[in-house]
Amino acid sequence: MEKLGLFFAVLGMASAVIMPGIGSAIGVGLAGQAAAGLVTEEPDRFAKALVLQLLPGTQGMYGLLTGFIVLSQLGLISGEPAEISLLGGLSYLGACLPVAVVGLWSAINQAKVVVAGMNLFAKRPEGFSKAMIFAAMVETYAIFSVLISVLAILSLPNVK
Amino acid sequence: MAVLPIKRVSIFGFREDREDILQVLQNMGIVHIDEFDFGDDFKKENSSKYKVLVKRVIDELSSTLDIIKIYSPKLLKSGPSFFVSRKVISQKECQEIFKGEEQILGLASRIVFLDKQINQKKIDYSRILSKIEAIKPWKRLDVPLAFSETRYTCSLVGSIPKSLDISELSRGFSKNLPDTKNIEIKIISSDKNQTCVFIICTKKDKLLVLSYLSELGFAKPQHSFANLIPKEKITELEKSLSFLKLEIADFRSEILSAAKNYRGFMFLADFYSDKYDKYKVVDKLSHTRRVFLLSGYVPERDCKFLKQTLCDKFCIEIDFEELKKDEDAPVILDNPQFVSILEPIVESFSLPKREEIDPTLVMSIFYYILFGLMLSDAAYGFLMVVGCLFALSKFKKASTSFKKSAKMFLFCGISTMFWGIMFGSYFGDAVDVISEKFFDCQISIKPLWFFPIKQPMKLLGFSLGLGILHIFTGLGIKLYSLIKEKRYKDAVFDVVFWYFLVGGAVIYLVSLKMVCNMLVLDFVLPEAVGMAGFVVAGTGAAGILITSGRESKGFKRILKGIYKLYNVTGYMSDILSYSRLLALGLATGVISGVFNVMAGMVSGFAFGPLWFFIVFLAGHSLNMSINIMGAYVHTNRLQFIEFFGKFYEGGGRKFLPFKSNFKYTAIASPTRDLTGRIYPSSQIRQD
Repeated sequence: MEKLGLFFAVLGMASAVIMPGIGSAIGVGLAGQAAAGLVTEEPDRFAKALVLQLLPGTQGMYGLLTGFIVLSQLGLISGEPAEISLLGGLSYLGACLPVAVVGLWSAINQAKVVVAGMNLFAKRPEGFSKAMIFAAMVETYAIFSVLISVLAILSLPNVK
Repeated sequence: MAVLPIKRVSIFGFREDREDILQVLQNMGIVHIDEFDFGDDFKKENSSKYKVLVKRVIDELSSTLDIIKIYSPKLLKSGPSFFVSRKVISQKECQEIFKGEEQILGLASRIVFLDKQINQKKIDYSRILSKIEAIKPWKRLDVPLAFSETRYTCSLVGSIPKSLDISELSRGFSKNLPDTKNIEIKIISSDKNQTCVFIICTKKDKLLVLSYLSELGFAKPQHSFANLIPKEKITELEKSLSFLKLEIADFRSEILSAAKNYRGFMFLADFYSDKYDKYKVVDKLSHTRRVFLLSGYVPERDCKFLKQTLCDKFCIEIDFEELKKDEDAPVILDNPQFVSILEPIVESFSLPKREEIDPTLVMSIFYYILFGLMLSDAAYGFLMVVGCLFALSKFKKASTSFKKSAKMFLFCGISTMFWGIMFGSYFGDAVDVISEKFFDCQISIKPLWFFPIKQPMKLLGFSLGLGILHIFTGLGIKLYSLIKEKRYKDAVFDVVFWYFLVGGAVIYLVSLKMVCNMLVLDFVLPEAVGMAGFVVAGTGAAGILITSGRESKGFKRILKGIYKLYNVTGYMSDILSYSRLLALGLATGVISGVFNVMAGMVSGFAFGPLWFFIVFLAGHSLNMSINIMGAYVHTNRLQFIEFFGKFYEGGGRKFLPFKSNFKYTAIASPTRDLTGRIYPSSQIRQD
């Protein structure tokens, strides 16, 4: 039973990478479809459309970041897994949840904003930065979640 | 730091001078022309007739340029599409282009014509190709397809929609038509979809044979060339194919040789679109039979210059007026060079109203700090600086907006370098990884301040502190503008009380040991100071409660006060919003770390360095581009929401001077004297 600690910690790491990853994949996919539609009509706006498309991709990076910090804290990168109690492992799992859940949902919703923003950008080229800001509003919550996840994980070794 | 004061200008002139005056105004590019209604005595003039003519020329020239881009992409290329750099045309070349104008325009329409021809020929070409495909199965037949009878026999030529060979076919005949002996079957060709057959039978058997054949799905070929022998037809068609090919090649080379005039096309396209703009302005003017009246806005500092230049040259009457109180005049920002870089950012939010304060100056102080903190990697910053300097030096004739954004990212890069050095991040921890994996030693560059990953709470505290400073600055601007408008009461009630409340609360919090421990502060304010802060905050809260609803009375007033006080949660969320500075900074650093580890994984093997190089390059370019984008977006957000939200409304209309807008070319050293025409006068007359 004691050994399960490491398992739960890895489970946490996995969920931090998997769920925002799924969200970003869906999000970038949605945005990419809209971008392709825009570029069909306006090939010159490819670079900017690409920037908009990438916006929902950051959640995936936040997941990667969290997962990586957990990996290095568990000593899985250096090849010497740390001894970790069941409580410790469950705490890692809990600490990963904010970015996992919020990352998934915010990426998808951000993508919807980006798709709408793509329409705005198609009709008004000067609306590009506004479209970006609208999408950034959603991202705020992903940032908050990754912040709390990372802060919690960084302070966990003190808990043990 | 200001909205430039402007004046309303009206110009009366004779109609015959109109074109020349407009040309001068276009060259000067300082007057924003607006449409005003001056009553029934003045009439608008419709120049759509000329506009259509000019538009046609512009369209032809721009499609010529598009065509040239297709046939000879190298000619027009001047870098990637967002580094648009204009071609420089000298004065002398201008004159030459004008001299040969008709010829150049002729060439342009010739190119458009040739392109159409080529497309037509290409269609013909593929049509002939498909014809050849259709006859090919009949190639071995040495009589015309329509060959039907001799005196005693008749021949049946056609195809059966399945794959058959001769034995199958003759077996079928002998089985179904045992009485018909005199029959000759030949298979011309056969593939998996159809079999082409040539059958000779006696005339009396014809019906029988045909009825059996139609069971098999026999059909006569539907070709228009049935009277020719297929082989001959194919040679004929192939001949016309090669002829078409030659023609296309001819047209192509003609286009290519005409394309050498591309500078002329570009310049004329620009020239005519300027002309088009001029006609658009003509629509806005008011006219009587002999006089025209132009009205618009001009920056105050340019009034004298405008008057002098126009009065010197033309017989006109020019008037300047102060703006009326609520006049919806356009807005133009005027800032020192360093500050003006960020004007487009303000503009993308909204321009200030005429009486509002231009926020660009204050914003530009914080903008770079915030951006740098979010990216915070010295190497990335260095790359940005190098990239921007390169772009600025390479594309000297680029548009001002391009130059402004390049300069903006240049300063962002400098700030990023600064914060990168403070936090000891050079491609993340690349130095550590490289030294450990490849040189077997431990080198790491010490941060000037601290490692954010080791003390994230310290950076969080710093971020929130910076946020408070930012927000207070915003409030300060509101205070300043209220005092400027002599609304002292509002200044105290709406700003000073909030300073008390938020500032007092912060002081109180910093006097708590718990908070200081959490944020790793080196100091704790004494309890007395904390209490004082608490009292100040309380005063502020009470003040807001009592005064915020001051336009209402009685119970409603208190309710409104409570509602306004609730806004304190808004301040809290605004301040917490600055925690993104920490989060994005960490994201850059840690993800760089991820790529460094990935790159260093196989350092033991022979191909280790190569692998390292590839992963390092790919990973860091990805990380850098995504994080630059993130930093840009979130810096804007902090400016627009948290900072502007405190004092800035916006909603101004942009000052759009009537000026020449050259898209493809730039004239080298245009005449110093703005009034001088770049163009010979014959070009300016009405068409």
